[in-house]
Amino acid sequence: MNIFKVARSIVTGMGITLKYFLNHKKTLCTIQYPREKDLIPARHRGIHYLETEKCVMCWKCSDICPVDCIYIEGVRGADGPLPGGYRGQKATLSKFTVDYTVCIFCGLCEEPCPPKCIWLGPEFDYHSTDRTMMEKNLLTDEVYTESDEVFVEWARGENDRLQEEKKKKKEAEKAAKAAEKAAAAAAEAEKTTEEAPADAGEQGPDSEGEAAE
Amino acid sequence: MNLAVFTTFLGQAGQAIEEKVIEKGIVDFAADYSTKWDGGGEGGLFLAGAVRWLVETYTVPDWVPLSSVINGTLGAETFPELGGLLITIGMVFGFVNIFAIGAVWSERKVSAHMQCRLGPMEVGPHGLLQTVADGLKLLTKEDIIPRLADKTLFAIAPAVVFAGVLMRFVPLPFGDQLIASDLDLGLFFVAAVGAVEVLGVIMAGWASNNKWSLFATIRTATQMVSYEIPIGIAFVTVILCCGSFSLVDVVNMQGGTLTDIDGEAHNGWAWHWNLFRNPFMLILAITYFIASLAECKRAPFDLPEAESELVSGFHTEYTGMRFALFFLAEYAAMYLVAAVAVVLFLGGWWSGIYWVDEIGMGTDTWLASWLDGVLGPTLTAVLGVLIKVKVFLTKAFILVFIQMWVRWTLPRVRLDQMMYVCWKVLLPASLVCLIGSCLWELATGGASFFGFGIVVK
Amino acid sequence: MTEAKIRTEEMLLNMGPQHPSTHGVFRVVVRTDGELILESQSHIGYLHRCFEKCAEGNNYLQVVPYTDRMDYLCAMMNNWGYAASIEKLTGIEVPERAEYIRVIVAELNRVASHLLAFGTYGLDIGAITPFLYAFRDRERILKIFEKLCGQRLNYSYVRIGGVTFDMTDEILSDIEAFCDYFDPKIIDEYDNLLSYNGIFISRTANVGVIPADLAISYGVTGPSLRGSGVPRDLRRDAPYGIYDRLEFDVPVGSGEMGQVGDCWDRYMVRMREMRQSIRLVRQAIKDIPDGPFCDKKAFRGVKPKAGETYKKVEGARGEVGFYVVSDGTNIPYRVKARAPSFCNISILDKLTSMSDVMLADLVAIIGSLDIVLGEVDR
Repeated sequence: MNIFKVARSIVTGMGITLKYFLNHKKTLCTIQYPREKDLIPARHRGIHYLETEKCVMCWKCSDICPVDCIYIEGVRGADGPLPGGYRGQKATLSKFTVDYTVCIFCGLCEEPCPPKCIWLGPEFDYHSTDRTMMEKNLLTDEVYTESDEVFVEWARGENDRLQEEKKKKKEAEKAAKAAEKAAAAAAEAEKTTEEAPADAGEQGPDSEGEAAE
Repeated sequence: MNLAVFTTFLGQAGQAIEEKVIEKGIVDFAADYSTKWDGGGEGGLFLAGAVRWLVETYTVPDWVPLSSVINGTLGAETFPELGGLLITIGMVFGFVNIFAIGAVWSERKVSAHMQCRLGPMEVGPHGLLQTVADGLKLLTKEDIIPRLADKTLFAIAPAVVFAGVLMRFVPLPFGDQLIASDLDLGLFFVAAVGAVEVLGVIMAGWASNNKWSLFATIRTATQMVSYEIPIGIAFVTVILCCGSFSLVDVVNMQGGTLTDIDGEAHNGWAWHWNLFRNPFMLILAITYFIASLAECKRAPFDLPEAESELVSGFHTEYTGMRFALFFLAEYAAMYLVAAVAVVLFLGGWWSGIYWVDEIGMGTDTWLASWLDGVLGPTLTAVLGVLIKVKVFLTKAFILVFIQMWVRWTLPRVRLDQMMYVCWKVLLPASLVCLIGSCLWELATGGASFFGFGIVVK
Repeated sequence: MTEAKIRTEEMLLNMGPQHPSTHGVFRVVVRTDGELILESQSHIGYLHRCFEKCAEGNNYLQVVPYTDRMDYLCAMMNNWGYAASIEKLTGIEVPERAEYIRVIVAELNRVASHLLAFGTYGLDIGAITPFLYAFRDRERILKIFEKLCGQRLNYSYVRIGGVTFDMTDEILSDIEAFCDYFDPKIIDEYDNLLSYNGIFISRTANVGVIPADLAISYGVTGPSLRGSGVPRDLRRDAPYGIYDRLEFDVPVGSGEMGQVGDCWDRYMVRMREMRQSIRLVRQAIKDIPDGPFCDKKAFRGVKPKAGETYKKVEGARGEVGFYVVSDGTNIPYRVKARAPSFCNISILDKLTSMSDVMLADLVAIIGSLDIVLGEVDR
């Protein structure tokens, strides 16, 4: 290998990188992701959406699904709403979930749907700390399963119970000191404990959404 | 480090200050301390003496926390020796760390801009503090030592590597007389202590008990030992031409006011740099630069840590601060080889423009005297020092940038090709340069600029 | 000390399944003597997902998304191969417009796949910057695909009886713009930066030489075969779709920098194929007719008569073949896929034993074969 040829090729290559280095403002091709976002095309196959009132509960989408990730439960043609059910045109759905640990976003479920009520939307960034929470309830558009809601309910109850216990303990202590002051302090504690977690939960996602805009 | 230069200016130009402020005289006082130790102008000692003079003259006021301790320590007899050493070490160490942090950031930015990216942007303006954040993260990480590793060697290897690099900073100047210690055998020291780093890398790779690390170790040993030779020959050639092992002498041969063989003084310009001394020096500078890339394990000679072949090479098993030490050592070595190249070939702290070089040197050039008139002698002297530091660092940083530029452009060579480049290209080339330079020096009588010896009186 | 007293040992080195340069979960156990490799033993199967068994449990339509996951870097060709074999089995006529769209997307996908091969090959050799340039340009293709069919990798776009979405004029102009942008890039940047770089040539030329007869006997196909100088390209030799109407060259390795069939030749065939693909895309865009883009009836589901068929198409890595047996129901009785990467990687052990190969060369050879482990293991 000719040494001068090698040297020339090295210099040529270094010229290219230097050109990029000097013009880096023009050649930039990345975006600062969480702050800037790319345009999502209309045909993008992201997470599912369901127009509940149109659904006739034909199971065609769950039939065609190659990985069987769509779960539907309900009553077809029932008159009144079931307890906790969602009333559509011709069916009452009690469950319509997609398991995103399984879904492959092939888009096959869109086509056979007679009223075209299930479609894959533009959203793609979803996450959870738990596999069980990757199941999205298309009826409420919340990424919670029923069991998770039960769990959340239980957790809420448990939390309340613990708070109650704490309060009682405090009350008992204070009652020993002064019975009059104890009642006022307990009312205060009740107020603050109820408000604080609710506030934190609401503000989080909102402020993020604004930043993204 | 060495404040001798500051005080020289104070002595030379700042008569008024000397009379007014310096009763006993900071210069004398500090010089007392430095001569006390080994009779040389040791920078750290000098600084310690100056600090002590300040404290003795204007004691630390009582409202300052720990004032009695400070006054007591600085007043103690042992302070100059101990304090001088600590200050010198602290300044070298501080420079290495700050440089490494800056270099990691700039490497990420350089690579990003070459690759149409932005690089770190989140921590601080333009991600300036990203490296600091990474350093903090590494500090807090768990220090994992593999179960079957040789624990002692594994633990001390990063320290050995880092110490090996840090020691080489001792004879390295940062500006005119700003040097930790102007060793008589400076270049020899730089070359010799470099071997300590190889030892540390071998220790790390061997102790990790990882086959990939072992591969990296063998590669490192092969590579670093081989590339010592072209580097050594480059040193020898420069030493032959300049007649001194001292890095300060080598720089002083290349600029400022030069003295001819017949004792006549003339002005130092850019063409007096070793790079332009003779045509062989030009080639030698290139061979030295290529060899220095291999010496500090940079692409295209990054075989010891070839991430696509050996996962991460000798530091595969390292985590946390031990890994960070390897990282620091790598970047410190980058600066080191660049700075040595600047000393050897690029005229050190001399900017190559005579008038700029002579600012604050006490000579009577038009620029210096004009600045004297405008700023006064003391400030001119300080300005001169700052310009020299700036010039030196700028040259070194340009070479560091070239190292980065090469890394983000070129593929990696293979082991046998690496050896080929060393033994069949660089070694013959540098040997030819050595002999050629000797003959050239004989023929031209050591005249500068390829023997034309352009002299501006 | 004499040489005999220095005892050296061979070392058994386990490369993978987690290694930066095995392009996935591929494991090679190598016996090394220093840097030299004496023998290597490939182990595959870490990514086995039972594609063929899955295909026996799903109907013909539902198999299409599974074919995406085989070679996820050029899913269009897998889709096409499967769709073409079912079309052959059932005798479905594909609309003219769909055939043109198929050529456009397949060739664009080939460019995207070769770009990735180029980038990761640079990465294997140690050059990091070409990788990012390649990904920058690949990103444009992926954006076009996202606009066209909503996905960036697993398209499921080419389906039995046509394609799922119609090509709009906007997307066509996007593709044209991409062709204009990309065509000069190959020579201006990629070739100057990597292909003709001295260090790169010295790393790849004369390394991993596959002689033509060996390549054929191991069933190597695609750019790896053409790199050995065998001008075999299904698009020209056994035209499917509308390839017989289009003009293009089949680049083959000529041993420019070393021997015929070395890593550089295989690499360079890919670089030259990208230009041919752009040429094909341009022709297809020029001639694309109006009309339906799919056979609506076939889209609802197919039920072929009992029988069997084999159809192969030219993928980015070689011949993608699907052997389908039907028993007359709407579920295939058997689907067998011929994965080019699987055949290409089989030659690796032979190559390491044939000549002196160093550890760094092994990385270069694996990279030049351009395997996708999703396809090797299926």
